[in-house]
Amino acid sequence: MPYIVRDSMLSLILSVIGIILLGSVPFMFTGMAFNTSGYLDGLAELFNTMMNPGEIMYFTKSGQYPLFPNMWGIYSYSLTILFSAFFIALILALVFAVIIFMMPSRVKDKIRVFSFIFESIPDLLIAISMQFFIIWFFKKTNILLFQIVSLYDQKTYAVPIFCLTVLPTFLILRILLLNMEEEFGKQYIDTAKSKGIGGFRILWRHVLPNTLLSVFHQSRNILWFMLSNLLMVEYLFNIYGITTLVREMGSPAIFTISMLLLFVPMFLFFTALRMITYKWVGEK
Amino acid sequence: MIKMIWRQPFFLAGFLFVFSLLAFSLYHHFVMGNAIYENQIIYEGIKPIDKAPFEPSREYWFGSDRMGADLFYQIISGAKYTLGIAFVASFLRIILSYVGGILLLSAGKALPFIKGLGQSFYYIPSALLIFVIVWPIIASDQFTFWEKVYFELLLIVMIAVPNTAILIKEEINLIQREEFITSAKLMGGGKFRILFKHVMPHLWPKLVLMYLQQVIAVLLLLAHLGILGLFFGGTVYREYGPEFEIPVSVSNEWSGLLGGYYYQMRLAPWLVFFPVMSFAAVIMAFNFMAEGIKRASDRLPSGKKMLKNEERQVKHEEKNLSFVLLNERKTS
Repeated sequence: MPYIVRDSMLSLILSVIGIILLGSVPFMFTGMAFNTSGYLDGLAELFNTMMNPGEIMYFTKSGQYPLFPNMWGIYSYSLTILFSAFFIALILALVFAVIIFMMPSRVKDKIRVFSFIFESIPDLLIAISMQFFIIWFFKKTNILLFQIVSLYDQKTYAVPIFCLTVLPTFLILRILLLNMEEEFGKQYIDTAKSKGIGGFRILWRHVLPNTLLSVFHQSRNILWFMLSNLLMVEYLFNIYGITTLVREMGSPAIFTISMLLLFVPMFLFFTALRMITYKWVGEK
Repeated sequence: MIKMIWRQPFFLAGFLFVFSLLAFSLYHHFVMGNAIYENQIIYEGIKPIDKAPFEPSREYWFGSDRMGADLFYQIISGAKYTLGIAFVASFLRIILSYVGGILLLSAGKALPFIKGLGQSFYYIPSALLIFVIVWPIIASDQFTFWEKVYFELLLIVMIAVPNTAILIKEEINLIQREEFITSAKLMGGGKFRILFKHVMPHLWPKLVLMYLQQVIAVLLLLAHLGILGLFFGGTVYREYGPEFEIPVSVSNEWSGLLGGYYYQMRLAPWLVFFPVMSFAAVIMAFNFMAEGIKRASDRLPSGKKMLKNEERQVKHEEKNLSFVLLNERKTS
C-alpha cells in the first residue's frame, strides 16, 4: 500500500507541475521566436497571479467579473456533464455487453468484428447531427427539444450529456467485448461450468468484474477523449462551461487554473480506482 | 508481414478509399486545372429559377455554397491538403517520438519524472491547448501565411511527441525482454546493433500501426481546430451581394471548409454536413487500415496462432504459481 500512495503523490505533484509548465507555454513565443527568458518570466508571473486568485478577472459581453465565486458554477456544470456522461456510458455499455452476450454466437462474432467501425465516428458528427435533428424536429412538430442558443443562466443537461455519452459507450463496449472473449477462454470458467454454475451467473459474477478492470485501466484515455468532446459540445451548443471560459479568455492564468481544477477530480477518480483495484486483485 | 497486410480485406478497403480520393484530388489539380464550377443563378431559358446556395441534386452532388461553388469539387480539391497535412504531421510525430523513445531508453532514474510530467497531457484537451497558444499569433497580421502554417504544424506535431515517445520506449522495452535479445547480448552485440538489427524488425509493424493512429488523431484535431476557427487554408473575404462579405477558405482545406461554413448551418445544412462526413469517411478508412494491420500481425503464417494460444496457456499457468518471489511481486 505505501508504494501506491507514494507513487500517487509523485504523479500528483508531477502532473500539477506539468500542467503549470504547459499553461505558461504562451509566454514562450514572442511573436514566433522561442524566448526562454520570457518563458521563465512568464512562469513567475503566472505563479504570482495564481497566488492571488481573488484578483483574476474575466470578461463577458455584459462586463467584467472576478473569476472566483463565479468560476465554481461554471466548473461544476462542466464537471457534472463530464462525469454523468462517463457513468451513463459505463452503465449503458455494461447493459449492451450483457445483451450482446445473450445473442447467438453468429451475431456476436459479427458485432465483435465490426465494433471498431463505430469508434471511427468523429464526435463532431454526433454533435452536428444532433443539431440537425433538433432543427428538423422543430420544423416538423414545432416542439423545441433544446434551446440551441443557450443563455448564460440557463443550464441544460440532457442534450449535451447525450452527445458526450454516445462515443464513450461504444469505446467501453468494445473494450468489454474484446476482453470478455479472452476471459471466457480462461480455465476458471471451465471450473465454474463444471460445477454447474449457470451461464448468466458466470458472466455476472466472474467475467464482468474482471473485464471491468480493463475498462478501469483505460479510463484515463476515455476521459481524456471525453474532454476533447466536451470542448466541441460546449462550443457547438453554446454552453458556458469551463472550456468556453478558457477559449474566450485565452489568458494563461485562467487556462492553468481551469485545467488544474479539471485535473483534481479526474486524478482523485483514477487514484480511487487504483486503490480499489489494488485491494481487489493486488494489481498495481 | 507486408504480404499479409495486403491480403486483409479491411486494410485493402481503407487503402483503396484513401488512395482513390488522393488520386482524384491530384487528377483534379493537374488535369482539370483545380477548377471549381461556380454559378450563382440557374436559368431556364432566360428566366432565373433558382439562386445559390443550391441543395444537393444530380447536378450538385453535395450542393453548393452561397457563391454557387460546387461543394463536391471543393472537397475533392481540399482533400490533398488535409490528407497531406495529416500525413506530414503524423510522420514527424512518429520520427520525433522514435528518437525520443531511444533517448528515453537511457534516461535511467529521470524516467519516472519524465513520465509523470508527460501525464499532464492527459488532463488537457489538445485542441484547447493549441487554440490558446496559436490564437494570438493567427489573429495578428504581422506574419505571412506560411509562417503561420509552420507554427501551427509545429505545435500539432509537438503536442503528441512526449506521450508517443514514452509509448515507443515501452514497446522497445517489451521486445528487449525477449530471449533472443538476451542471447544477442551474450554474443556481445552492442547496444545500437541490438536496437537496429534485433529490435527494429519487431518494432516497425507497431510503428506503422501507431502512424495510422496518429493520422486519425491529427485529422480529428484538424476538424476540432477548424470548428474553433483556426484553419490552415488561409481565409479571404469575398463579396456576397452588395454589402456582405463572407469568409471563404482559400485552399478548400477541409477544416477551413468546416469552420467557414459552420456559420451557414441554419441556411444550408449540407455545407456543414458534407465536410464533416468526409472527415468521418477518411477517419473510418484509416481505422479500417489499422484494423487490417492488427489482424495481419495477429495471424502470422503457418499455424503460429495455434502456438500462440498454447503459449498463452503456459504463461497463464506460470502466473498462477503459488510461490511468487517477493521481489518479483514488487516489480510486477
